Amino acid sequence: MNTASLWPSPRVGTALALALRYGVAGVLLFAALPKILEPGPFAESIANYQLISGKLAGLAAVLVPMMEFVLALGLITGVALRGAALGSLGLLFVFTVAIAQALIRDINIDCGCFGSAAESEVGWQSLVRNALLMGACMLVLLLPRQGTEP
Amino acid sequence: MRKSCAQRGQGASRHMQASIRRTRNPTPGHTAKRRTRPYTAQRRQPLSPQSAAQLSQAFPSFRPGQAPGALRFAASYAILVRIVSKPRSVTWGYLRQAGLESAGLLGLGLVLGLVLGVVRGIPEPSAQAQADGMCTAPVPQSESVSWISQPEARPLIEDPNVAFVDARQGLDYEAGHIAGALHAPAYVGSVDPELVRLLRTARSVVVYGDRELECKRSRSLAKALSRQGLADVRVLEQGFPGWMEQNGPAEAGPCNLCPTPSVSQTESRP
Repeated sequence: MNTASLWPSPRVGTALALALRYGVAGVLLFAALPKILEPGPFAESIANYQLISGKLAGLAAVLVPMMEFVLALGLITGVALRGAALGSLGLLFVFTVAIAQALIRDINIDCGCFGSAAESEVGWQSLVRNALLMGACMLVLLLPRQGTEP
Repeated sequence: MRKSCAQRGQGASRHMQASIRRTRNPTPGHTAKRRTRPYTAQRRQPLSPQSAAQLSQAFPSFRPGQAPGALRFAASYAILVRIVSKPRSVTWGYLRQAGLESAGLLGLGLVLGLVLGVVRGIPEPSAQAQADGMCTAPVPQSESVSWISQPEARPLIEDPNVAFVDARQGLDYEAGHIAGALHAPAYVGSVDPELVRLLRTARSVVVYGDRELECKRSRSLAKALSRQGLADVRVLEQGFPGWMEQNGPAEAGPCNLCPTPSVSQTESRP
């Protein structure tokens, strides 16, 4: 059974799915590009979370932004859309766990979420923002594919 | 089996018989009327009271007088809940496919990242960021809190222009605190104005707590004091335990210099 037929107007589902896709993709791109251009500050931010060693933090600072970038491209183009939504969900879950443990351990650090583009201290706002983004990813995953398929 | 009037041909009124003749043998100028209007009219009838009551019970925002809009909203809401709670289009096969696609995308990102890392080099975080422990590696990202290390703070105990403020609970303070430190429990919610007036006479204020929860309290107190207009407020790294490890001067007992002397008796835990 196609869920699109359940909507009072199929345009509602289409518009919602497209808006969520591009919204999440925009946030991922905004987060990824500064970190790709300047991996140094992001490596510092990862090390500040005190979860992994310095060398691993440097490696993660190179790998994670590129993963965000590829996932954002997947969401925008619709190529492997479901995978992009699921991958974004997983990545955001990892970020959320890292932020939550920093809050619990009371580590006063910069979030590093958007690299050097925007500085923000780790806090409940970061958790709420990640939760909203994860909800959007879930809806993209659950809603029928629209926009890129006939 | 019940027959229609047209099939029976008898018993129908003259008007209906003429209508049947026109339908069977349409003459020029007389076209058969389509029997769609009665059904349309029936579809637009208002909701029955039972249906309206059921909808009102299921959706409190539903009003029977606004049937089309409310129905539309209620249907959208119900469908959204249905999609989120029990999606019909999501199966294990769908999720497996999504997982495979996701692994492919993440793998592509990893490969591209590795290539970029090899080309540009992998950054090395500074040693300060790699330090372990709670409240031992303060990263000064907060705009209003600055930190002071134990070796820097130690000689300041001799300086009469520097005030030490204990942010811990009253019982902890009375059990032992930095010599001459004032007591201002951070969890009370607001800083005592008399204490702030007293602290204004000092050039610098050093706030300290314990390493874990109290570390947050000492930072909260430092922020609160900064908001009161005190210029130089710092938080002591590693707090009172670090001070004791450095064999710093300490004393026990109630706060005699505080504006409210019996602190431990008046405070209450949140």
